[in-house]
Amino acid sequence: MILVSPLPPWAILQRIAVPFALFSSVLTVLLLASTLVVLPRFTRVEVNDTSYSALELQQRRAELEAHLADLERKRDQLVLATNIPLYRTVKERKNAAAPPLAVWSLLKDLAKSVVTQNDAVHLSSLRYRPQEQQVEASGDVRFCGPRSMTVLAEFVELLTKNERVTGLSRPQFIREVDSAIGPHSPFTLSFTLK
Amino acid sequence: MVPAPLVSTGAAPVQRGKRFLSFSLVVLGGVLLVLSTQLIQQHIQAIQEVRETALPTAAQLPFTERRVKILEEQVELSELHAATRIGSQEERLRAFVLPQGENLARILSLFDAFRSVFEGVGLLGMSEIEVGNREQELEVEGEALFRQPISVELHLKEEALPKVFAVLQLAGVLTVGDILRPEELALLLRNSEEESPTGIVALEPFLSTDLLSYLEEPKPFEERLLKSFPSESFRTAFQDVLQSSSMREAKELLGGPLGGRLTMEQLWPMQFLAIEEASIAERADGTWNLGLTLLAYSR
Repeated sequence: MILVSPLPPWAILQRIAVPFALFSSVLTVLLLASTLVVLPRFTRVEVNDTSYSALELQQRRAELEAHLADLERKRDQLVLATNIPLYRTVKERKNAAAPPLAVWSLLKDLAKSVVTQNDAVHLSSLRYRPQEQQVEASGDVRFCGPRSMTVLAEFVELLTKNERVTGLSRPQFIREVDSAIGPHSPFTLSFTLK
Repeated sequence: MVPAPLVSTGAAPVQRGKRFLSFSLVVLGGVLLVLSTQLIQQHIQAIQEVRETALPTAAQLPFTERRVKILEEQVELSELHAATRIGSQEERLRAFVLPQGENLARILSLFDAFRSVFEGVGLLGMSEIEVGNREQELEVEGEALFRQPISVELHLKEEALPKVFAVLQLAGVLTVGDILRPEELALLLRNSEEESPTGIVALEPFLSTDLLSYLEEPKPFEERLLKSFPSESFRTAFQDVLQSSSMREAKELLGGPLGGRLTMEQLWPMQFLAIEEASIAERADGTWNLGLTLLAYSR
């Protein structure tokens, strides 16, 4: 019977130290050499007889795109006979604002998409300031009996969810009775267009 | 005399030195191994970068370089033609669209022309016109821009509403290029680049054509342009632009009595007008009230 006494930890450390250090240093040297010599050579891309690294390619692209944008701007100015800065400023501002009838159509379409009753929301007036994109709309919910406030709430919810509408001021929810149209909920709401 | 302790006391430091050396080697090996892991990661990243960004960029770069060359050529050609071409339209723009100082008589004549043309097509009434004070709004590259509020109320039928807004959109437009939206202009320019870079010389005069003259007799202008761009793709793009909503509205309005009236009374091009506030309200009889506060711009 052979008794093998277990090696103490420091003895194991002593035995593996040299091979471990050798392995690690050889691996590091090889990888370092690969990083400095092999990798740059094999990761270069040739475009129109010029060789670029990945970073250089990105820089070249950014440089070209900036130059391209500059040339486009210059060409657009030259191609339009009326491209004087003052005129360009007012024209861009005028064209940036949504036309009043587009705002009116947006409200009409939303009113028609009320699920509870699609013809109950009646828009009677619109005040719109295109430069500030501010909208104030008035009307009432009618011909839907005691549900007029529910329909109005749904209309307001549709407006709130619309991606073009921001800063909506909620109307007062009231029900009034008119001799001609019966119970109805008048409203005035204001918001800004995005 | 006891020599033994001397031997045992000499072996202990050697043993300690060996242990220290082994420990240092293991630590060094560990550090190098960590460094190797980072270098391997760097390799993986470099290969991923090549595959995901460098190769697609490399494929795109020749096209971008070609486009830059075409645009450089177009800019050079445009610069050569600009000096002779731009002068006259710029002068008209400065004289009529953004005039120097107040030009109230011309604006009021414009409203008179609107009234007489639209009375037959849905305008039921027009209130008195209120004109506010002219004040500076901003300054662009050393040139001041002034605005003057003009308020008016119109009573009209529903079908006249879009016409009124379309006319206001045309107030300030001078050339064909001015009526086109940026994306429509970009479509024409992009097609001109692809087909014939030098064709920009033919595109420029078309875009600089007076809009009213073009709408009165469009064919000669269109034929002249299409001679320089015979391809089907350019023709299709060109037709798309001509069918755009802004061009169609301009054709409907300026190609009719309004265009004739503006020419006759020398009110074209119109002064630049923008809407400050529009109030639309439906009346009980199904007709509409339109309250407008306009801003007339001048220098």
